[in-house]
Amino acid sequence: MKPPENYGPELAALTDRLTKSVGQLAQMGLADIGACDHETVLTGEGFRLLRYGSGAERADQCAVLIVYALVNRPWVLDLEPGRSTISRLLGSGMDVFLIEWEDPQDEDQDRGFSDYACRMLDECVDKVSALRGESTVNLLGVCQGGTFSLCYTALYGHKVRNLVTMVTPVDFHTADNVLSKWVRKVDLDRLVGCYGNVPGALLNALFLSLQPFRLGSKKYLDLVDLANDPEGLRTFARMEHWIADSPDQAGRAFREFVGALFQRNALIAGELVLDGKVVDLGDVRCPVLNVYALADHLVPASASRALADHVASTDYSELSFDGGHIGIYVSRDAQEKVPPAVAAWLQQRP
Amino acid sequence: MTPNASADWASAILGLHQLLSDHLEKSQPDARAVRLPEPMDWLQTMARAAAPGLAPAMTSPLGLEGLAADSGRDGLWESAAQRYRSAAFALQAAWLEIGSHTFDALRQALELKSAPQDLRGIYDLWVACGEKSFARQGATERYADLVAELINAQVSLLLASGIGSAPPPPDPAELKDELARAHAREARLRADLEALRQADTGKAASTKGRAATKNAQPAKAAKKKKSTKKAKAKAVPSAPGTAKTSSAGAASKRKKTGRKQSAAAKTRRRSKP
Repeated sequence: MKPPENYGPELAALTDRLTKSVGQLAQMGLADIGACDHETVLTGEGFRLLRYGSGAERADQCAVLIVYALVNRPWVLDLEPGRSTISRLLGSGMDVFLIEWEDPQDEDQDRGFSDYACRMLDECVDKVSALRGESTVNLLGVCQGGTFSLCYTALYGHKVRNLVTMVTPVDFHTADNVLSKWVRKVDLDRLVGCYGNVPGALLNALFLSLQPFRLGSKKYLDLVDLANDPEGLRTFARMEHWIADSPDQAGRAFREFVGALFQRNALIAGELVLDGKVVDLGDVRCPVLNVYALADHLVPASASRALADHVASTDYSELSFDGGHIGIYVSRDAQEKVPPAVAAWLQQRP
Repeated sequence: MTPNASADWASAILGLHQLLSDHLEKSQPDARAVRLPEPMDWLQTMARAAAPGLAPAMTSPLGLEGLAADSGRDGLWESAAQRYRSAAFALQAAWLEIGSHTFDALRQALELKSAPQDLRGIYDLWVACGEKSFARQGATERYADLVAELINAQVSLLLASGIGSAPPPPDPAELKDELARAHAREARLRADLEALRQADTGKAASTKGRAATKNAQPAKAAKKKKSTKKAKAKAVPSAPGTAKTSSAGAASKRKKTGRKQSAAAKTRRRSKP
């Protein structure tokens, strides 16, 4: 091995390439995001319901309503051509709907967990049902949106035909859930009292600090590989934009969600109450496809796989992906495997 | 590798890390596409401390200078500031420990024949060692306590500084939810008690050796029976927002049998019983 002082030329080359990459990135400006056409089919208090694609043939296709998390934005599901879960679902013959949560304003601090998981979700379910002329819908819940979808299905199962959960936390107290351990002793009442709506940047920094070396350092040094690769730089810029674009969280919903699930694990304990009713996962009887990522550092696979032990569905399937929490939406490998598998699973259950 | 040489490697890696930081720092005003997190609070300090024990933020926790200079505050504020300082330094100490373990691991890894020969490879190895060290430390109760305490201390300081307001009293809806939760808990405990009673009855009728095995089984059976009953009696639920508070029987845990191993990117279906 060479002594460190002999690495001068390599350091100079790295510096040169890093300078190029960062310079090109700066010139590029903010890259466009989104690959698929869509229209707003419903605007409600706190949300918009989007429908993707176009054409009369949608009516004959299998429909799915995507329920995204409150954390970050759903457009990671439609990042760019070639990295779009939504595009892949459309390409697999699906009629795709998505709920876009609105950023809470100061006056929305009192918006609660039930408002999202029951009221707003129910309005969207009804709208999709009406547009499709069907009495039930297929739900695809992503991350926290998966938890919402599970709760909704447990409470209003007669409106749900099939349920797909993707990287969804169910058991929040599995041994490898670091995030859950960190927030278990946080005084949520005072935190929300202090901030009102909880700043997205605060949560974002917490998520990044789960892998500080990799997310705070390595990925930026890896920019040296993207010098003179405009497409790669654009993807990098879009991902950075998405990661940093974290909406604030409605104070009450944050307190209720984190308190009930991260701190008390109430869904597993059978003590979660929404809309005045106890959420019993044993009331989930429709077919369930549980999709999880094996290297997920935010929602460990163990947290998702716990679902198998709690739902009453006789038609329960799992789809594991060898990647991380974000990779499952955007990696090339995931694009090839996950959306087509989800579409096929839903289409087999009309 | 001699200790001195490893110290040189540490310097080389730090040099590269510093170079990276400088580039990102300089690029920020123009590179609007890259929206790095903003240095706004303690969590940002953690995010910036990509190299725990090494980043500039380590030597001076964000905002502490301002706190130290701020005088003329009341006792409540002083106490909150002191709590925050203690919490920040305790977490810093943990980061220093992680940083130290990281370099120990790196030194050992560099002694292997398979160790990378180029600077980039060594930097990547340092990152890998750092993540391993951080994962070990970050998952401990001690570290979780440090993080929670820092958040709580910061909130206390902000509140003492007049930012935000003390938590509002619980509203009636929350109390209603709490009541429903209590009912659910009570129902579950009653069911467990009943199951235990049944098990106890069974125990008396069986041999001593078999009693222990039987003890658990009636409890499960009782639970399952309860769930089935509940399912049969269940009416179509009301629409969200219109339901009245109701207590519900528990029995949310149902064990599934035949859980199979999942294969990557292959769906698997549970066979119908």
